[in-house]
Amino acid sequence: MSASPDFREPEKYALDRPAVVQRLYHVLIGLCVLLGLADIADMLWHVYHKHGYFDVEYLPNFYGFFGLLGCIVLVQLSKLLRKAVMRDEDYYDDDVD
Amino acid sequence: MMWTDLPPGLILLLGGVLAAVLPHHGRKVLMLVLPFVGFWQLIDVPNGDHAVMTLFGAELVGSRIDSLSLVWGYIFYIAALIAGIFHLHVRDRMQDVAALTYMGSAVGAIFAGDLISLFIYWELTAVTSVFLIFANRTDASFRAGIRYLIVQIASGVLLLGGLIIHWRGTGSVEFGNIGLDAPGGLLIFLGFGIKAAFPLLHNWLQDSYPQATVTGTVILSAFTTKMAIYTLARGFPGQEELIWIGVVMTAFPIFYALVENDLRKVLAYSLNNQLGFMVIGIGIGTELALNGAAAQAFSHILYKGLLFMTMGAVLYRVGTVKATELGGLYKSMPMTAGFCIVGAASMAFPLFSGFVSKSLIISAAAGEGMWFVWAMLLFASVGVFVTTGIKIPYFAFFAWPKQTQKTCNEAPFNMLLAMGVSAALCIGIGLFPGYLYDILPYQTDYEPYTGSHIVTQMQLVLFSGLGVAWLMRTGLYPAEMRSTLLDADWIFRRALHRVWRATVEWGTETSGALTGGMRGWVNSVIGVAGQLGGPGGLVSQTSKPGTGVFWLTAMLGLYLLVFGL
Repeated sequence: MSASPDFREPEKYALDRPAVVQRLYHVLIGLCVLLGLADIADMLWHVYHKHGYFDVEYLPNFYGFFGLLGCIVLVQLSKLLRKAVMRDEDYYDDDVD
Repeated sequence: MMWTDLPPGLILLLGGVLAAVLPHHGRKVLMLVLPFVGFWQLIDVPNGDHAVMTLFGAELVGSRIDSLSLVWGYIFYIAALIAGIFHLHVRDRMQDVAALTYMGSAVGAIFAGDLISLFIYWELTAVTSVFLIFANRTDASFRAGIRYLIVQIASGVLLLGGLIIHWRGTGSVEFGNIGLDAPGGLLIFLGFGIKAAFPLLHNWLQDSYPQATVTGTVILSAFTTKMAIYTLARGFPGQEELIWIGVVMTAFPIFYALVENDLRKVLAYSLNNQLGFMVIGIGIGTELALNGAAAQAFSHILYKGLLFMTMGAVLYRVGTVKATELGGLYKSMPMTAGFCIVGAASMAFPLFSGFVSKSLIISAAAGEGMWFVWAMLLFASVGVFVTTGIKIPYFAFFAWPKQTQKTCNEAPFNMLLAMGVSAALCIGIGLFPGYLYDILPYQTDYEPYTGSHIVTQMQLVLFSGLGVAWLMRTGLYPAEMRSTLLDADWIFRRALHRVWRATVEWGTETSGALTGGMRGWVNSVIGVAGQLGGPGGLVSQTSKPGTGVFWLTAMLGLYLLVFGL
C-alpha cells in the first residue's frame, strides 16, 4: 500500500498531459464525422445497405443525432432531478431513535 | 435414478449446509467444484419433469428441465463459479454458507415446476442472501439488511397469497403461463415484480446492494433479480402491461445513475435499467423478444457481474467507491481498469456480449411497429452507456489529475482471474453469438452483425460519447457531489413515519394520553380483524386451504431433504 520506492514522475503517464487528451478528443470527433459521412455515402451509393423499420431511421446520421441529443437531454434533466432529490450525505443517519 | 430426480438446487444448497461445518479450505473446494457438478447434471439429465410427487392432491415437480429453465441454469452455474473464484481470498464462514445456500436456492427456483416449490426457494433466497449484507458487520449494513429482508419477505408473502388463491381457483399448482386474469394472478405478478425491481417497488436494490460486502454484492447482483425475470418469462409472457412497466424501468434509473456518487449504487441503478430491457422483451412476448430477454439475462449477468467485480476490487484496495474520492486509479490497478473497460464496452459495442443480446429486444420492438417503445429503448441504451459505460471507468480509473502516481496495489490474483474469465466470456459471446443463440428457448436465425446494425449502433454510442466529452469540457456535466438522493424508499423511511407520528400526536391530543395514538390504531385493527375473522367473516372462510398449505410446506421441506439424501 505504501508508495513504491521508484517515485514516478507525473509525466510518465501520457494521459496526464492535456495535449494527449486533446488529441483523443479530436480522434473521437474524427470518428463521429466518418460515421456521419458513412450515412451520406450510403444514401448515394448504398455502401452498407442501411435497413430500418421506421422512416426516421433513413435520415442521414439519425442514430448519431439521437445519441448526441439523448445524452444532452439526459444530463440536463439529471441536473434538475438532483435539485429536487439531493440531500446531505448523512440524511438518513438519524434513523436510529 | 437418484441423479435424475435430484432437484438441481440441492447441489449447492446442501453444499452450503456442509460448508457450515467444514474448515476454510473445504469450503473453498465446495465453492469451486459444485458449480461444475451442477452444470454436468444439467447437461446429463434429459429434458422433462423429474422428481414428481403428489402431496395433498397437489402435483409437485422438483426438477423441470426445459429450454427456458436451462438458459438460466447454465448462466447461474457460470456465475456461481466466477463468484467462487472472486470470493476465494475471503475467510468468513458466514459468507461462504450464505453464498452457497443462496445460489442453490436461486437455481432451485429456476427448476421448480410448481408454485409451492417455487415459493419455498423464493423465500430461501431472501433469508440466505441477507447474510451477504449483514456480513459487512456495520450498523448501516445491518439496518439496510433488515429493510432488504422486509421487502423480500413481503414479495414471498404476496406469492404465497397468490398461490393459495390460484390453487383454490384452478385446482392446480403448476407453474406455467399464469397471466394476470387468472385467480391470484395479480398477487403472484406483484410478488415477482418486487424482486424484478418494478418501478416504485425497486428501491430495495439500490438501498441494499451497495451495503453488502465486496464479494457479496457481486453474488447478489447475479441471482435474485434474474430469477424474478425468469419467473416473469415463465408466468407472464406477452403480458402487455410489462411493456410499459419495462419502459419506465429503463428510463428513470439512468437519471439517478448520472448524479449518484456511490459507484456501486450507480451500478445498481443501471442494473435496474437493464432489467427493464428484459421486462419489455417478456411483455412483447414474441419468440424473438423472449429470446432477447433470455439472451440479455445471460450476457447481463456476465458484464454487470464484471463491473461489480471491478468496483469490488477498488473498494477492497482503496476502501471506498465514492466518485468524489477516486480518480487516476488506472496507474495503480491497470488490469482492473482494463477489465472495467471490457465490462463497459460489453453494454454497447459490437464484438461484445451486450450488443448481440440487446439487439434482439430492440429489433423485436421495432419489428412489432412499437415506435415509442423502440425510441425509449434507444434512449435507454444511450443513457446506460453514458451513466455506466463512461461514468464508471472514467470516475474510478481516470478523472485526472487527482492521482499522479501509484498509490495502491493491483487487485489480488483470484479477483483478477475471476474478472478475466468474465471478460473473456463477454468477448467470446460477442465474437461467436451463435453459441448463445443455440441455447435460447426458441430457434433463431438472427444476424446481429449486419453493416446497417453495426454502423447505426456505433453512431449512437460514439455520438453520445462525444456529447459527454463536450459537456465535460464546457463544464455543463454535473460535478460529482457527496450526497444522498431521495428515492422511493423515502416514502417508507420518512413520509409514512411522519404520518404515523402526526397520527399519534393528534390522537393523544384529542382523546387524552391513555386512549390516543397507538391505542386507537390497535383498537381499530382488533375491531376489523374481529369482523373479518369472526363467524361468517371473510378470513375465517378461507382458513382451511391456508392450513393445508402450511402442512404442505412443512412436508415439502421434508421431501426435499429425503430426495436429497
